[in-house]
Amino acid sequence: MKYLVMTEGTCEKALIDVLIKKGIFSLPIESLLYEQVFHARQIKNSIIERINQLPVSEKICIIRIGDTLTDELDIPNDIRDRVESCRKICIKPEFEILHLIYKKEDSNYIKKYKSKLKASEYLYQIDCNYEKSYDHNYDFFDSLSEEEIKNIIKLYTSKRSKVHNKDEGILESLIK
Amino acid sequence: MFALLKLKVSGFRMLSDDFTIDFVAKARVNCNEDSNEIIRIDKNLYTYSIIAFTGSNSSGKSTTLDLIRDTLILMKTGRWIYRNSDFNSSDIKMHIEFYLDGDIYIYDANILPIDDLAEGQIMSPFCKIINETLKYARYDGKCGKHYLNDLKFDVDYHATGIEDTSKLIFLCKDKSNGYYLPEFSKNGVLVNKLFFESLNFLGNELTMEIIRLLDDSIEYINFDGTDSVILKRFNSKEMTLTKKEVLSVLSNGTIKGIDLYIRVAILLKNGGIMVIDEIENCFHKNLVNNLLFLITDKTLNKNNAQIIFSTHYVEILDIFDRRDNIFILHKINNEIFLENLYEDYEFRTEILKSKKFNNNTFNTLLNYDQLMKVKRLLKNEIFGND
Repeated sequence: MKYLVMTEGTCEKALIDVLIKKGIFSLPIESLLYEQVFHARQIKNSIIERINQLPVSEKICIIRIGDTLTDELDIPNDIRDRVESCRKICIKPEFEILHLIYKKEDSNYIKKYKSKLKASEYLYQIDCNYEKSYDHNYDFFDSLSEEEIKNIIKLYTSKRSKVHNKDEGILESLIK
Repeated sequence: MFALLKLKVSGFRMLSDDFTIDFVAKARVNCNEDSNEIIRIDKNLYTYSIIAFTGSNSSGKSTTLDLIRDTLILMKTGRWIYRNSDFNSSDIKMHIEFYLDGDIYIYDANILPIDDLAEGQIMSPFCKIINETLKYARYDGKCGKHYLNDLKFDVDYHATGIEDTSKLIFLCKDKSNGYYLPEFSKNGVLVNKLFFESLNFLGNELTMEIIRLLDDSIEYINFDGTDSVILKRFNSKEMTLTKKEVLSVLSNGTIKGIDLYIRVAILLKNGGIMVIDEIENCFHKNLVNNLLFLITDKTLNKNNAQIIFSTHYVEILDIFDRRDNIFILHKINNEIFLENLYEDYEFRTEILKSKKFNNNTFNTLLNYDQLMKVKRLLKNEIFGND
């Protein structure tokens, strides 16, 4: 069994790459397809090629990570038989809520601004250096300690897990 | 950071006048999307980690890659090696746009062929470079690919004072790292003189695993800098061979694969641009795909490594998520033209790129009429002209 970890955006990919680097990702790197995380909304040909590299009998478990993941995942016929399960991990309302939690601005945002601004827009207002990019997010999370990252993710669970639907997993399930 | 942004050339071999290669990402780069094949040069300015050139035989792929290679050599050494066949007019007009450590540079020059020599006259093997102009501007982090219009450029008045040495050497000597995959000679002996030395460039364990990836019967190869090489296959005795013997014992694919993998590992370690003509030469497509997977893995490619390659094997292009980093070459009336798969063609992105190539959408297959002409004449040749 190999896990195909797909992130909706590059910010989520940056976070998961840091979790792996710091050894706090719940799955061993050897269990991930190509020992990496893929930034992809759908299963593109470049991913199918990698799945084809596995022994024919090896199954795939898909883990999708994103904000809301409302679009359906279209599993190509070529690999349909190999997919054993598909999990969603949602970071609602938007990935940047994690930054707001770190800055202790999440409650303020939820109470006063959530109806007017996206989490990222609010974050831009309070942190003009923020960039919605892989490099910026990788550097940011990499600069934190393992405990700090875990705390952000656990705080997210305690404050936001109620907004998840039944089929939507929480980020905390992916950390040790 | 160094990045080639654009090349424009006139007078180089059969390339059309103002032949232009644009290395700046053309399709939208949403900062949160499509990042695998993208290198972020600076804010809002992107290039690609993998760039492919394809086209039918003799369409100009090698010429185009030679131009890129020679440009990188010019930037690093300040020199343009003289080859009479490079010139299709009285000079080569070069225009280079590049990014270096926060500045955008625009370089123009004329490269002249070497005149016939009087008997006994000693000359430089390098071309004269005249009319050099270099302009520069601090990149503002906003204008992206519109830097030419939006930035105010100043003129750099430095000069080398040496007619066969470009002032680019002042800037790019230690920055514009280029790597060029050597060719094979016909008998399978590698031209790359550093092949055996390269076995010691990386950690021993990594090198051995690369070798076993290419040939799983090899337990180890040891090279100590002399002419003798120790080769040990599993379940066989250790052999001491000369370099030449090793090259004849190993397959072409194994030798070239080891060479390429080691070079890609070095590229990932140090950054730079690797230029590879016919990347599939001697290889299974699967090996090429996996090399490109290494370059597009952001957790490995932290130093902005770029591979620029040509290929006849259009199935390789199916692993490209983007289209704007794929270029198609055509030769029409002895002039070579370049097209971009994103800018010059429209098709549904869910269709495999190879299918579009294989149904001749881009006019890259052999000419049908010519094929039939050859077939008819072949029939005559075999059965006589009755």
